[in-house]
Amino acid sequence: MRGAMTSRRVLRIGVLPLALFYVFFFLLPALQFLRSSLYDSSESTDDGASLTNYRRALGSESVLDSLATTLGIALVTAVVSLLLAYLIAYHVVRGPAWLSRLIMVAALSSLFASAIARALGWRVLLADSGPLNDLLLALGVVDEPVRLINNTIAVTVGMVHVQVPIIMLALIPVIEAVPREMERAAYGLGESRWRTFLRVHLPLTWMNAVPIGLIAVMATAAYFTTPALLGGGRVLVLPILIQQAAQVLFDYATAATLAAILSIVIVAIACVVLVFTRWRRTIRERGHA
Amino acid sequence: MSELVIEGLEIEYGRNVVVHGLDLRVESGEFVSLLGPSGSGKTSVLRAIGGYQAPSEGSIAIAGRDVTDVPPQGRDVGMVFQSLVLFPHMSVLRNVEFGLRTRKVRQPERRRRAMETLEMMQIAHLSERLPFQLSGGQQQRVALARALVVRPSLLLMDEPLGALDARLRLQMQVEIRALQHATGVTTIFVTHDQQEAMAMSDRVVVMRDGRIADQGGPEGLYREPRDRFTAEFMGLTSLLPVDVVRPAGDGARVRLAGTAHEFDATGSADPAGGEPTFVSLRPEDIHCTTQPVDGALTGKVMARTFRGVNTFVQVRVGDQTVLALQHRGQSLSEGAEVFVSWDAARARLVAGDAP
Ligand SMILES: Nc1ncnc2c1ncn2[C@@H]1O[C@H](COP(=O)(O)OP(=O)(O)OP(=O)(O)O)[C@@H](O)[C@H]1O
Ligand SMILES: [Mg+2]
Repeated sequence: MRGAMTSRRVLRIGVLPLALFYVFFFLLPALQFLRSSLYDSSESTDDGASLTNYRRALGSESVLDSLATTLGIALVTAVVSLLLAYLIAYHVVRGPAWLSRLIMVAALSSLFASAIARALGWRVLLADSGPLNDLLLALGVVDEPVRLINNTIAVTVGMVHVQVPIIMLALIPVIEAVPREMERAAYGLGESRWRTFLRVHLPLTWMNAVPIGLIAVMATAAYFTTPALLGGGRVLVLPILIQQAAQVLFDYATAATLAAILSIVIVAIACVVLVFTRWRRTIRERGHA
Repeated sequence: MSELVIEGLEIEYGRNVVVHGLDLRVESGEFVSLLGPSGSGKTSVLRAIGGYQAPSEGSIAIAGRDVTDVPPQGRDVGMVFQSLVLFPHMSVLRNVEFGLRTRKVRQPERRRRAMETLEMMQIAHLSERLPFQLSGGQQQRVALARALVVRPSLLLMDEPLGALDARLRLQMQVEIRALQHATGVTTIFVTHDQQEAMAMSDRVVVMRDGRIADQGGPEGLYREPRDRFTAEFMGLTSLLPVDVVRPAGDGARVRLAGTAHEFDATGSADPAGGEPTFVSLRPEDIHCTTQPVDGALTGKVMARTFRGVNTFVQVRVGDQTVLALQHRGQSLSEGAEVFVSWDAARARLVAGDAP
């Protein structure tokens, strides 16, 4: 009893340095950074906080374009990754042991490879004289090499590659939560495997996959490396604009404004989706079933 | 005609063989229970019949058709799982309609048949509820309705009443049996509750370590078990170690081990492999009286257990203890000296080691 008390106290005190570190080295600078978005960057006279920067950013066509590109890539990436990851995770959970082990090793090794290495890999694969174009030419699908790189599609492909292993790992417990007998009951009633997946498995689990999809949206929208390497400067997502403002133009106010806009938009999307799907309610119902 | 014919069924998980060359025939309209201790392979056999577990050896035929390599979808078998697994996102009605939809039964026929089955189970008023809004017994009925609505040629149930309390269990036993009579569906019912198996079945198949230990009608198995395992598994019994003196009629003259007391018993007099031999006596067949009886053993009441319907007494006889039913109008108190006797026809010779 006393031992438990002391160790709890030790734990509480032990958390303190970490909390202080977090407050001083992350929270305060971040707030300071965001605060700078409230002060006009073009005028040196300090006439108090205003939303001038936001008005200017939201009035700028390039910023709005960039926001649309960012969200478009993020949403497409999340949806495609969810679908792919779902099928893969299903095989990890329900497939034979050797297959699930193989998939796990592949997923983990892909997670360990750095984002830069993976993006550069795609550059080689998708290059004008790369293997994919060679294949398309050899098959006679196209007459001359097609542009596969430095566009939105290349960035999306790269981002899907980044997200699939993470989403797959997150989906494994979601799929495991459905008892095997649930599927067997459907088979016994004459339902095919594929339709059982559609009529039983998906309706039972998709609500729990929504938050995972949202995490993928957020992570993708904030990703810098892959759009930078696979977009070839032509896919200007918000993180690239922020980096340019902060490190090329030294315009911290604009960088902060764009960062704030990105965060707010994403949180707003998350709220709408979560309220709309009422996913908590269904989790409760599943618990009773 | 045999609805189900299993020949030489062998099931293995990895290298672990859990069902060994099992043969079983179930007649059309029969209610058969698979009874056995945990791990004896009941679920494995049921899964193989349903098509969820591929046998490593042997064949399974349903309604005269070999289905050994047919997936569950093509077997026309209804299955009620122990965990019921109602589809939690579908209403009761949609759960019951599920199997009709896969069989391409169109509305309004589909709804009519589903409602008809729900009415038969007396839960038609719950048709719009979701499964989590039902009590255990109601969920049980839905699971049964879902399996029965497609009129399968074979109904399989894996300990379907395991999660219910004692009262509801008894009620559902009666209901399931009545329903089976009404529909005539051939049924295989898995349970490890010997009373449940006896109360419901036309035939009980006792399983032990992946083999059929014994089978027969409930009364036959209870009165004339083949060996010690069945005797002990089919209900309360007292086992007295005996030596066979000589065979007599369809039984033998035996001597109670360590005493000079001799008596007659029925059953096979020469057990295979020289296993230890016992006489099995059911509690209701043992008479304890305070008045002297010819040829009775003397004993002393050690304990008394009141069970409502009846009262059991444990009686010390020599260095053995027997369990007897206190007869009506009797009142045996602890420590009482009693005379213990039984009908020769009810003393059953059994052999075998402790299970
Ligand atoms: N999926 C499996 N993988 C490996 N071994 C298994 C598997 N399922 C069952 N077994 C083993 O097979 C044997 C028989 O199991 P089974 O489930 O058929 O027994 P049971 O008679 O239904 O028992 P219970 O009354 O506990 O349900 C057991 O020893 C069990 O450990
Ligand atoms: Mg079982």
